[in-house]
Order: sequence, then C-alpha cells, then structure tokens
Amino acid sequence: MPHLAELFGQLANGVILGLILALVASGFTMVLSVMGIINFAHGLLFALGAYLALTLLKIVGYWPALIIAPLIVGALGILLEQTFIRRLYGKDPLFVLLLTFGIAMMGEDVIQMIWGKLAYSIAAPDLAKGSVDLGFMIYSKYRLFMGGFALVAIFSVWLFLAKTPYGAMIRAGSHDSEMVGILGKNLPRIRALVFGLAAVMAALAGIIAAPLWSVRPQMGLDALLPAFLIVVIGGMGSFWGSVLGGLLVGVTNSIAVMFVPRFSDLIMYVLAAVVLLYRPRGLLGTRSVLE
Amino acid sequence: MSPNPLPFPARQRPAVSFALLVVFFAVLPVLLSALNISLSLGTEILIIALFAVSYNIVLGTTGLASFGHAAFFGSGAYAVGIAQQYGVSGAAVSLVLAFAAGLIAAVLVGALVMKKRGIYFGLLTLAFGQMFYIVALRWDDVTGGETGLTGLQRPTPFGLNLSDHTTFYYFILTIFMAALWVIWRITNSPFGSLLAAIKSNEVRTQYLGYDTARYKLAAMAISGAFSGLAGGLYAWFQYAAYPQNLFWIESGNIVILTLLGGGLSSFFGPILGAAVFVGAQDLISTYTERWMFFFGLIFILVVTAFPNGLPEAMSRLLSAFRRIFRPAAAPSSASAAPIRRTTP
Amino acid sequence: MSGLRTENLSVEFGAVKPVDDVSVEIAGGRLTSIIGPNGAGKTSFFNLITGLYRPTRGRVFFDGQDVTDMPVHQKVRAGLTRTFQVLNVFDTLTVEENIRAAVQLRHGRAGRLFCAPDRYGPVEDEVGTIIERVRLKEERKLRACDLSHGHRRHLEIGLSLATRPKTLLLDEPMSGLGMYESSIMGEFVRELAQEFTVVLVEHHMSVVLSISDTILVLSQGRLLASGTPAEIQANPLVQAAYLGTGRYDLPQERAADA
Repeated sequence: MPHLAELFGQLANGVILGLILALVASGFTMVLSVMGIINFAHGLLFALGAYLALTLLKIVGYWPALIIAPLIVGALGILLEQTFIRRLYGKDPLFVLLLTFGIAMMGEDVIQMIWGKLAYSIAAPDLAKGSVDLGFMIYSKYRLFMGGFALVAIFSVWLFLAKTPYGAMIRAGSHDSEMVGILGKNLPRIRALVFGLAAVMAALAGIIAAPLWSVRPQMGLDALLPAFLIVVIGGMGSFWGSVLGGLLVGVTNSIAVMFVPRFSDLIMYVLAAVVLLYRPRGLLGTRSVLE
Repeated sequence: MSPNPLPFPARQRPAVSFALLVVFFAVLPVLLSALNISLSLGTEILIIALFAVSYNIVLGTTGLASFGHAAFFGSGAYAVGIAQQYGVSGAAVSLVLAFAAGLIAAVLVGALVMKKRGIYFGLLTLAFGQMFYIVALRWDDVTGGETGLTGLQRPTPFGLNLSDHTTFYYFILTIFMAALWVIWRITNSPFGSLLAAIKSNEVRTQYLGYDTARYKLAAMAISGAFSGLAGGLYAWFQYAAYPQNLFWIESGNIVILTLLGGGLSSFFGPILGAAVFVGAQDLISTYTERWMFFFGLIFILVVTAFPNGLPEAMSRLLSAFRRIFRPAAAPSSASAAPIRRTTP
Repeated sequence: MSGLRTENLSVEFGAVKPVDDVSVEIAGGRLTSIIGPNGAGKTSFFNLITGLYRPTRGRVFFDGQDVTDMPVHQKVRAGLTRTFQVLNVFDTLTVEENIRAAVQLRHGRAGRLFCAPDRYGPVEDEVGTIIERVRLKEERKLRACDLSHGHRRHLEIGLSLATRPKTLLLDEPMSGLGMYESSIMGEFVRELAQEFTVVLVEHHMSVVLSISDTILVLSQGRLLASGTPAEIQANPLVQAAYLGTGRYDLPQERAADA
C-alpha cells in the first residue's frame, strides 16, 4: 500500500494534469461545437506553445515568454483558419479533419527541422523553484504554481464566454448551429476569434506543461488524444464538461500510475467507453446535432 | 436517360473490370522490372489496395467516415505475429486469425460508436483506434512493445517458397483477387443494398423497420475483418508487426488514398488510390527523410485540390481540353457527380 | 383495425414545448386528419408517436399496447409507419431499389451477403405490385433524384406501403404539389383509408374536409378541438385560432372553393 502522503501527492498531480488537459480540451470542443469541425492540428498548437516558450525564455525570460508565446500561437491559429480551414466550410467535415491531419503532420516535421528530434526540458522559473511544506505533505512549488495558473486561465475563459458579447455569440453557436446563421455577418469574425482563442488556450497549456513533460515533437498528440476522450466524457460543447472530464482523466490517470503503471494510459479510454455506454451524451452534454 | 453516373455500388457487370485487373497485375512485374523498381513495391500496393477496398465498405458503401481502421489492420498483423510466437505459422491458420482479429477489434470499436453519426463518429473511431496502439506499445511481453514483433517467417503453403519476390507477389495477387471478389459480392448483395440505403438516408431506413445500428455494426465488422486480413499479409510482407501499423497516421493514410482514388463513388477506385499513394510514398522515402512533411502536403493537396479523387479530376481536365479544342462539340457528359456527403 | 391513443403526451426542448399534454384517441380503420397553424406541433406529434423523439411526459398506445419506449424500427415492424413533410426517399437509388430496400426486410433477405439483390422472385413480385400501386411503373428504373416532385411523393408512400403498415401517418403528402397532382393524391389517400388506419396532416383544407372521418385541431402544442368535419367548421374556438394567427384562411372559405 502506498504511503498516504504519496497518495495525496499523486492526487494533486492528477488535479494539475487534469487542469492542463481541461485547457486543451475546452478549446478543442469550442471549435468542434461552434464550427462543427475536428481540429486535429490542435495538438500541434499545444506543442508550438511549448517550443516557442523554450526559445523565447532564453531571449526575454520566463514571464514575458509566458505571455508572448500564446499570442504568437493564437495569431498562427487565426492564420490557419483564414488561409486553409475557411475554404472548407459547408463541405463534408471529413475534409477538414483530413486537412488538419495534414497540417499536424507537416507541423510536427517542421518542429523537427527547427528544434531537432531530441527532447528538451524547461527549467522552472526562479520564483517557483523548490518545494513547500503544506503541513500534510511536501509539494513542488512549481506544480502548485501551474495548477493556480491553469485555474486562472480557465476562469478567464469562462468569464469571457459568460460576460462579454462575443462570448455570448460563441455560446449561442455552441448550442445550436442555426443560431450561428443568425449571427450573419459576424460569423467570419466569430470563427476566427474562436479558432484564435482555442489556439491561445492550447499554447498556454503547452507552456505550463513544458517543465513537467519533456518538450518533444510528438507532445502534441500526447495532449490531443486525452482531449478527444475528455470531450466524450464531459459532453460535446460543454465548457464545464471539459473541465470535469479533464479532472476525471487527470485524477484517475495519476491514481492508475500508482497501481498499474504500465497501463495507466489506458484508464481514460476505459472511462470514456463506460461514459459512452451509460451516458451517450457525456456527463454534462445536451442533445446535439452531431449525434 | 439520367445524365448522372451510376451511384455506388457499381452495378455494371464486374467480369470485365476483374479481368482487366487480373491482366494488369499479372503483367505489372514485367513493367516494374523494366523500370528497375523492386517487385516488393507491387506486393505492397496489392496489400494496401486490399486494405483500402475493405475500408471502403465503411466509407464508400455505408457512408461512415472511420478514422480508426489502422487498429483493425494492425490487429491482423499482430495476430499473425503473436501466433508465430506460439509456433503457429501455417498460411491458412494465420489468415483466419488475422481475419478474426480484425473482426473482433472492429466489433469492439463498433459497439461503442454505432449510434453516432458524422464527425462525432470520426472522432470516436480515431480515439478508440489509437487505444490499440497504446496496448501494443505497453503490453510488451506479448507485442514486443516499441520494437514490435520482428523476425517473422513467411509460410510455405503447397511447398511454395514465399521468400522469393515473384512467388510472393503472385501468392498475394491470388488472395487479393479472391478477397476482392468476395467484397464485391457483399457490396452488391441485398445486405449491401441496405448499406447503400443507410448511406443515402439513415433515418428513412429506420422508418422501413431496420435497426440501422446493427447493419452499421455488421458493415464495420466485415470491413474490419478484411482489413485484418490485409494486415496479416502485411506482417508477412515486412517480416514483422510494428506498433506503427496501428498508428493514427496509418488510419489517415487509408482515408486519404481511398478519397484519392475516387472511392466515394467507385468500388475499384481505392485500388488506384493505393497504387498512386504507395508509389508516391516509395518515391518520397527514397529521396528525403522528411516524409511526414510531404505526406502532410499530400493530405492538404488531396483535400483542397481533388477531394472527389483522381478519376473525377482527370475527367474534368479532359472535358476542359475538349471545350478548348472542339468548341462546337456538345458538352461532355463525362463530368462526374458532385460530391455526396458521406456523413449525413 | 389498429387505433392509436396518447395520454398527456408532451415534449420539451428547453423552454419550447412543441407538444403539450395531448391526450387523443384515434380510432382504427378511419381517416383522421390533424390540422392547425404552422408551429402547432403536428410534425412533432408524429415524431413523438413514431419514436423519433422521446416524450418528456405521457404515453403512446398502439393497438392497445404501450409503445412509448419502442425505437422507431420496432414500431414500424409493429405496423406503425409514416411519411415525411420534407420529402424523404433514397435519392441516390432508383425507384425499384427504393421499394426493394423496404420489401426485402419482411422476406428475411436483408441479411443476405452472397447473392444479387434483384433476382429473388417473391421480392421482385411484391416490388412490382407496389410500384404499380403508386403509379410509378414507367419510372421504375429512374433514380429518385431525377423524378418529379409529385412522383417522389408517390414513391415515399410506396416506401411506407412496403412495410405492410396497419396505421399510416401521412405528413403533408400534398405539400409542394399543384392542383391536379393534389387531387390525384387526395383520391389516393382516400383509397388508402379503405385499407389502413390513416392519420393525415395536411394544409389543403378542401381535401381535409372532404375526405376525413374525424379532425383533430392542434394549436400551440395543445389539442384545441376534435370532431367531424362539420363540427370543426362550426367550432368558434377553431375559427378564432385560425383568425388569430392570420396565416391561414378559415376552413370553410377554402371549403367553398372546392
């Protein structure tokens, strides 16, 4: 039986992993429900966030990199939507998935060309080095910082969605694709905005995760597949569903690491399969046009 | 009377098409050796073509865009590989095992996703397909982990020496033609006509009294089984079963090459797609290590430039030529049907 | 013959209630029409009865049996069939392939993998009979997308007939048809009513009033009135509802045209 402190530690790790994944998944599901497309390049944006931060922090330091890298990735996301994806609106969604498949492959190769195949690690910022005694356990300061940062990011996105006019339009689109039609001339702007916002969220998650995961070309897929399953678990188009799904996946994964380390990656698939069988719309999902 | 071409599945008598295919593939070795290309390229084309035709039972016939078919293909490959670890290496037994492995894998995935439609179906097949990759990676005492199962043997059915390139090619060709005929038969059966009805209008099919989820599951199972068979052949071909055979890139490849060949509206199209794609793959990997970059480029090119496949693109090009050189002639009737939505 | 009964049938989508607490008895062997302004919930009512929607509340009985939770395909097999307001046939298939897809189920042929679909005598005979019945003999080799609108309506009824229904729900079979085509369709519906229980949703008031045994009036998801055509024409509530929406002529005005 693992020690209790170890269990607490792993639980905390799970929550933090869950928050990072929630950040990736909520952007992914926002694009999915507003635009009706699966963006397979979403993982690439996550990886790009980490790699750009890697390069930028050598030039401008950690904190500026934390702001600049997501903005660059957000701009790239908008560029992607404007140049490629918008050509395929109204066509079979199969094509967008294949297109983003292609972009993800090219992108991974471009990352290899620029940064090489090897894995890097990013050092934690000075402020968050070392660990802190919480009374019942000793825990890494950086992980605490990451969890806090992810929480702030998630709440900012929620505030944006819930309290701003643009957010209201995005939410309307998430519930009913016909509503997006009513948005009329605002539609192109909304789409670009959604894509850009999702890219920023993915990049932020990538940067936060960088010091823990190694930064390597395939890291995009490591985040994207859990994001798929989180959407299935939480319910498509549901923001809080993504957060709940992310936390569930994160925590079960961390606990599984203690007991069945070899197959810990598989736990989230089992979780998603069970949810699909007993709650086909996901834990917080509503009836959707995409069923 | 109707200017539109016949819808899928093709209703022409297949004898001519089958005869042409046999002749083409029978003389392909001569062509390849004249071009100084290894015959194993031809063998690989045959196996991937079988995979693509199997995949098209789901995409072209039933209208379901599955993105997890590498899982079924790879399951077939691993079935052959694992059986050899236990000393089972007969040709017939291996093929039955590969077929069964693909079938079981497809039923497992299918049971979870059958009630879903459109891109949600795509998302789920992609996710659960990738699960097989992770199992292969982690369960190393059975699957060999990251290195896979290497050093596999080819069988010796009827005393044939399948290590010989030419013998192996014709052996695969025989299996390919037999499987192709069976799949043609199935897509042109009462069952196949029902899959076409589901592709055309699933809700209406339910209102005829059909439990469409069961038919979709059956389509998935049959498609998975033949994909598994192709995977088993591939294990012999590469003397190994690798986790990469189960990887999402492989699932994407099969979708893109099926589209490339015009699989949405043609039974034989995926064979053309396989030939072009595998050929391009060979070319790219000869000249550069950056294959992922160029593959990605192929994906983007196919989707944006000719999503209805090469045959349609060719006929568009031809009719454009005709318009230029014979302006007085009647407009060509060769223009193909507009793309049909595969995911209603 | 097979009757239909609903008890407090309701469905809600968020704040919208397309069908709200509808309890009706539809007698077997008769032609019952459902009328009401656009958005009255007529199509939603069909969707609930046939199982496309799950009711939020209430039960559906068919042939005296509770069928509320049966999926669509089982209800069809039990004899409850419908057509659609928005034309719903297999566009990419020919007329005979359309009908064959429906017929082969009852012959246990739909699971056959290793034979041609069109060479089994009993199925072909029945396909021929139905095609003749819906007056599409000349068009049998044409694809559904190449048919005229009226012919497509006929084909859709053919699809429903092929399921051997006991009760046939027809959702605006005359919508989009011209005067002449409508009158043929009206005759056809009357003919069908000799054989099956027919429930008709239709806007052509002249036709509804002339062929129905009973009329149900829905308004804003609720049952407003029911009775014989004469009773409905005289009902002040119905007149008010139709006048109130301003969308439709009074039933009797249209009846006078006929």
